[in-house]
Amino acid sequence: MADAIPDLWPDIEQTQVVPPIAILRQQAAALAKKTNYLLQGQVETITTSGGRFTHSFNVVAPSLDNYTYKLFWIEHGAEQYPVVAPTPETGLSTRPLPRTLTIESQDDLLDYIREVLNSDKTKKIVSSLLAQVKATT
Amino acid sequence: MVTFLFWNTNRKSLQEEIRALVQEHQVDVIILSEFAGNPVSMLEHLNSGRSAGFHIATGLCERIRIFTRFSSNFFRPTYESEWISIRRLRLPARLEILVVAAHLASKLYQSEDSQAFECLEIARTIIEQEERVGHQRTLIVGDLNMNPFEKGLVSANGLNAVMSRPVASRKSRVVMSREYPFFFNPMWAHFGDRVDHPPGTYYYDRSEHVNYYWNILDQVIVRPDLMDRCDGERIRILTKVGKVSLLLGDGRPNYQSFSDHLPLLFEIQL
Repeated sequence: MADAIPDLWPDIEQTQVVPPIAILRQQAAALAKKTNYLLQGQVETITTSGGRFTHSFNVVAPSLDNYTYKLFWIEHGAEQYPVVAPTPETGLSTRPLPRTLTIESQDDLLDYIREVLNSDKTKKIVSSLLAQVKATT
Repeated sequence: MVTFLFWNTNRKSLQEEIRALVQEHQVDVIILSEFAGNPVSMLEHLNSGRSAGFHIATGLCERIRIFTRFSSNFFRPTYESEWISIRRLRLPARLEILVVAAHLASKLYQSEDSQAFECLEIARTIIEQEERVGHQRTLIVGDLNMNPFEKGLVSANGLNAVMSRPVASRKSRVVMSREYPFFFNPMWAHFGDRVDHPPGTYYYDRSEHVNYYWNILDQVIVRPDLMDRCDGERIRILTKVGKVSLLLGDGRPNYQSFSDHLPLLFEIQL
């Protein structure tokens, strides 16, 4: 008699929005390629209470005993946008904590990540790690 | 025995005071937060006195500065972020330990709940690093910007730091079928008025209903595997540099001349 019960689901279409984690993984792969695999990007995800997903973007130096630097994080709910993220560095290193900002769309997230990856702080960290890797290999 | 000094220097340099403390207490590892001085100048200052032989233990966590009496090669970082620097302390012929130096976010910028969520992330990272190095001889030291009784410190999926050695010696606890390893927090024993001891490390007076006045934001907490190597009686919140008091006449930290935080001194038997 199960056939008499109709399928109540609508046609399910996959969203055209690129998931934030896919954008991060792409940048992780790009870092490895750009540094001739001396450094690697790593995306770690944890699920927090309330169904929130937090993705950490780490820079890993495999030849430095897998030294890891957590560069930034983003967080979102089951709906992938909006995304919450820390305000990028403004050069005030003694600031106790960057306030968070809300990113409403995929395009805005791309802009945000571009800003973080191009910040002086990120450049300093990546170049410092690269120098250490080259000095030890 | 390795002697550690931690001090949030309140965006000051305090080079002379740090050097004096290092000499007075034979400090081996200096961990500073909010250090506004030049690290190279600090190093020169340290090495100009009787405590010569210090090194800068470089790292990418700008909120933490570390100087060691031994080569920094023995104290290399394995994981860092804006808030913490996790390092393996591997001295020759000594037991290896993991040191998490931290300066976490202030309540000026984060709610207590947000601080607790950050501790969840830090706890998970520490467990990952412990799995990497193959032991749980870990200590956390720094300005956690939370009291020992706050959610981030005591919650199972946070740092899970308890006040009692017998409880911590159970190693872990299970909540909702998930196992969480303990830390032991010896700083609980430092609350309140005691003869010759300050009631905390940081004083905060504000006209609101809930106000503790004295807080212990600067802490050292240890895994059960390190408990026997960390004598709680020898953890000291320092109030003097030589004969110079770090306190005002009414007992509060002299934040104008020194820091609004008091320094923390402790030893680990390795």
